[in-house]
Amino acid sequence: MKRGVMILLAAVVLLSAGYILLRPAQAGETVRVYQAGEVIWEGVLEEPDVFHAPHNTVVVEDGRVRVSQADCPDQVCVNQGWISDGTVPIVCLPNQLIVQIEGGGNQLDAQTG
Amino acid sequence: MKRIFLLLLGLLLLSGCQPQKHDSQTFAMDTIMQFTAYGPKGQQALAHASARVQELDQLFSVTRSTSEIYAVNHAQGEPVALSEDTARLLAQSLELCSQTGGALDITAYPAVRAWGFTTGDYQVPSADELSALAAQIDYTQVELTENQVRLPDGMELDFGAVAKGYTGEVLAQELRELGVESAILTLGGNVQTIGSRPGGDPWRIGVQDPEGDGYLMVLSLVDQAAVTSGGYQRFFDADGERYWHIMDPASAAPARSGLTSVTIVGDSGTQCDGLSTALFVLGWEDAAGFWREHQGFDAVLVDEDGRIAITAGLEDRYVLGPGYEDRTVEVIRP
Repeated sequence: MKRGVMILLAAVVLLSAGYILLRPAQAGETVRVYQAGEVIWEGVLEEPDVFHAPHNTVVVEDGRVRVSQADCPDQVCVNQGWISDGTVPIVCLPNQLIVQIEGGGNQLDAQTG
Repeated sequence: MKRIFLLLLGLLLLSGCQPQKHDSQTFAMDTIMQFTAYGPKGQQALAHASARVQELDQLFSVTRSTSEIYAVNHAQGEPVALSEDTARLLAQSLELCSQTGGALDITAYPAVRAWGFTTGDYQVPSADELSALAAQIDYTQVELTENQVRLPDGMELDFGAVAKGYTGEVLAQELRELGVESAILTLGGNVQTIGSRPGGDPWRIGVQDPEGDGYLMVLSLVDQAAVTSGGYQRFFDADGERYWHIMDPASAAPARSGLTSVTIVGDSGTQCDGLSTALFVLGWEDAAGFWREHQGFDAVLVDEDGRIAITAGLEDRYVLGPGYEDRTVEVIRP
């Protein structure tokens, strides 16, 4: 009986350790475009793509993403340039658009500027 | 056998020991704010943080016709009663304006508007217009007594250079009071940390390269704020010239001091925010001089030739970012 419990416990520990050690590496980070809080597009960071949102154009290329064109007056989102990790999103406030890289391990906790 | 059992049990417990992570995102103060808090008090604390941010935005907004600042700016020379938050931030801001000899001036709003930075309708004002605007910028005209302020007619207050710093500082204090020991708040480009990372390591904060998309260096922060002011953040190009949103109060025009970004690290978010603007306006030599004279904070300066300097307090707290390992970093010493 006691032996049975031990074996069971050992199996659980081994299985969970195995999962932690052997789980598949992140299958690729996801690029999500939100408009007014809703996801309106999803892409994979490693797959070049272009998405035409109603007011902004989002380009995914070489493992990075940017807003290449926007009809907003201030152009802050376009001027922000490329992002390649999840540290900071690209935000177009006038159009309520957010471009965010998700599912990757962030190298940084935050970025100033 | 029993020992192995205990060892395995220990391992199992260890792997499940990461404190719970809570995230929230809110739009306020013309930017996006992202809050992350760890531990059992996190969720409730973040709900408080979001509500508090909206409350402060409602007080400080220069454009919302229901804000306290709007009321002050449209009082036509009459005194206006202030809430505790507004009075406190105004007092701290005026202190920073005075300390920096007016390199920070919270009455520069008419200039910011004339250049179109409030609407995105960018334009270059005429020289006459600029000198008229510059003559109107003067924080010493702001009369603050206890919780009441009087502003000469035609002048306008703007907390744009201090509001996010103040908000981060207030939130950090209130989150600590709510029992949060580990959290990081990003308010636009302002970063405020509470405690350290869940494992006890310092937070890793990237400093954006003003000339590119990467980060120049990573700073280690515990319980502090970091704020960057840079000409690259908000700008427009006209006739081959670049014009950015950081105004020199003396000329009512974008500050051209030779610096491209200034990052301030310190205990007070309000101070970090205000000084990042002021030191950007002051330029390399005067910024270094200001630090030597006052200290109590640290700074990273980057100029248009790509020179990088840090103040002595950051010497053991930075690592150059990927792709920037070969850059030399000057150290400003007391």
